[in-house]
Amino acid sequence: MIARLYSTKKAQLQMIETILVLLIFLFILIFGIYFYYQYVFTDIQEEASEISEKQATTLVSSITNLPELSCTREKDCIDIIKLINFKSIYNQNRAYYSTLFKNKKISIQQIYPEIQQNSCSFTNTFPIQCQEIIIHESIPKNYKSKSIVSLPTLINYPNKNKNSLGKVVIEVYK
Amino acid sequence: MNKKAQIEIIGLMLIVLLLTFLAVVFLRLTLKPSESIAEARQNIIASATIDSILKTSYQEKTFESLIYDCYQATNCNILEQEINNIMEKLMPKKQFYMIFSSNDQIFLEIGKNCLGIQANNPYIINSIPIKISLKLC
Amino acid sequence: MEKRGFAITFKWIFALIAGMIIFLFIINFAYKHIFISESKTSTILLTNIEAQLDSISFADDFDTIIDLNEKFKINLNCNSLQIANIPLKTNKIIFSPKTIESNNLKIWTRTWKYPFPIANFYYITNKNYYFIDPSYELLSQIPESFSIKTYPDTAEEDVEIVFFTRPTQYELEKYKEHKIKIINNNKVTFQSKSADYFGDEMLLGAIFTDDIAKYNCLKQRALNKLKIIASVYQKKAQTLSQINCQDKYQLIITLLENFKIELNPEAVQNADLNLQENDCTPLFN
Repeated sequence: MIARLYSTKKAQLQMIETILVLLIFLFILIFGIYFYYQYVFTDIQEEASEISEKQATTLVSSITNLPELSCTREKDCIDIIKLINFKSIYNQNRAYYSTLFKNKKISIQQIYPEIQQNSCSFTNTFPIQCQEIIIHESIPKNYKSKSIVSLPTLINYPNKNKNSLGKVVIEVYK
Repeated sequence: MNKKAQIEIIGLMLIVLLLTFLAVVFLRLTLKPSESIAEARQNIIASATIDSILKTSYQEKTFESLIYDCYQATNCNILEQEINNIMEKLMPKKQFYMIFSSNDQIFLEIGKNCLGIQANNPYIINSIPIKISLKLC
Repeated sequence: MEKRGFAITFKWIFALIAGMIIFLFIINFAYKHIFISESKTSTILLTNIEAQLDSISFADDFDTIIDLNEKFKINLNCNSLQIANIPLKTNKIIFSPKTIESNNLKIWTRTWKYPFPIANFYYITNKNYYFIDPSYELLSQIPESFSIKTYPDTAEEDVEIVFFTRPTQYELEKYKEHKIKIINNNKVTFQSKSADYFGDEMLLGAIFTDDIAKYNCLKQRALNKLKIIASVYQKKAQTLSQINCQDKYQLIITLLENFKIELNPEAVQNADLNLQENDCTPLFN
């Protein structure tokens, strides 16, 4: 009888041992998978961030060469008359430009010679005294981060045949 | 008894092999070479700055004419003053170092030499080869 | 009854079932991982291709080759690029065959000027072309990396034949096994369907596109962009007329308004040159 009791207890112990081994194995497996997926997602997020940075750098270079804004004779130059009229073009083709620019704020600032007035709303009258003209603004309500890319550019006054120095500023929201 | 011990050792060996394999895979994935987009961007900004400044108007001339005047040793003060003015507005509180040279002879230096990404743009101004280098510190 | 043997059997069954479940779980995990990796690779590749296209978006008459490191099958649709069921929307106007399977992409960009710069066209191809009776002017524009041959004796397999004059029955019979395009009277005929083109840049686009539906879609996108740019220059003319040469801009403003409906680039070009001759600021010259 004692032997039988001993045998039952041994069997129970073995079963508990087996179950514990399985549980620990499952726990390690789940733990490993969780950390692996965390790593994969972080890696993908980093790649996405890098791609976004590259795209912003390329966009800031290509803004000055958009046919809607660019000078006719110079590369990397913005025509001030096209710029001040761009808002109405933008409003008429909002869907197209929203897809093109996405979640960004794009502005053109005149640096030299300096203009005292700050950011201004669009007017169709000329001459214009605006230090900063915002051509696109789409800021998501909940964004995690913001990065700013800027690039110097020429601003051409075709009626005076003169060039000012400005910069294109792009704020990228993620 | 022996067989049981041997089986346990084989099991242990398998676990060690598995862990080693996982460690190797993990190391391979983590030790990736990192690219520097920031450096490439700095180079683009420096190069674009030089290009833009050159074609900017100053009164009835352009900065290109001012650079040529400076090369001819007639007047470098206006050029130096206006470039300092521009760079202060374009990149406030950021140090820079600009060199104007022709045939490896430097005829104007603006700012102090520092560590940073340098852009070197060659131009032909009134048939004179001039190289403008800008380092953003 | 001997329970000992039964207990051992139960252990084995239990081990087998548990092992099978874990094994299936790992197999499923591996498949999911393969799928995620493929999607990630496709997305990164597409984004890199898009970024490289972006970087040459303002280059006129520039050709390059993008190395993909290994062979990929890329679907180039009118509004998107696709690799392995992963699409990426694009606003670029890319004239190309619908599918390219290669380890590199030959790309050429041209600015479509009609008569002012409107958009950049991208030409991507991996095919060989035989041009019959092309003009030297058009032929000289095409970069060497695009395999263009003229006057073949025998046509190779997998080559497209482009006739620049109406082909004879003999020629049609000779090349009946190949894809044929005929360019005549300002129209391009794809097999049996015809389409218009506006300017050399669009003609080249029609040549490098293998599907008329895709070409028509791209052409429509280009024409939509033309309307936008015509409006830009119209507004520029209106603004300039407020400063100087008030009445001199009226003609070009009217021409640009009509230009959105009926394309007459020569008239617009002449009107702009006329402004220059009258000491008024031209719009695009």
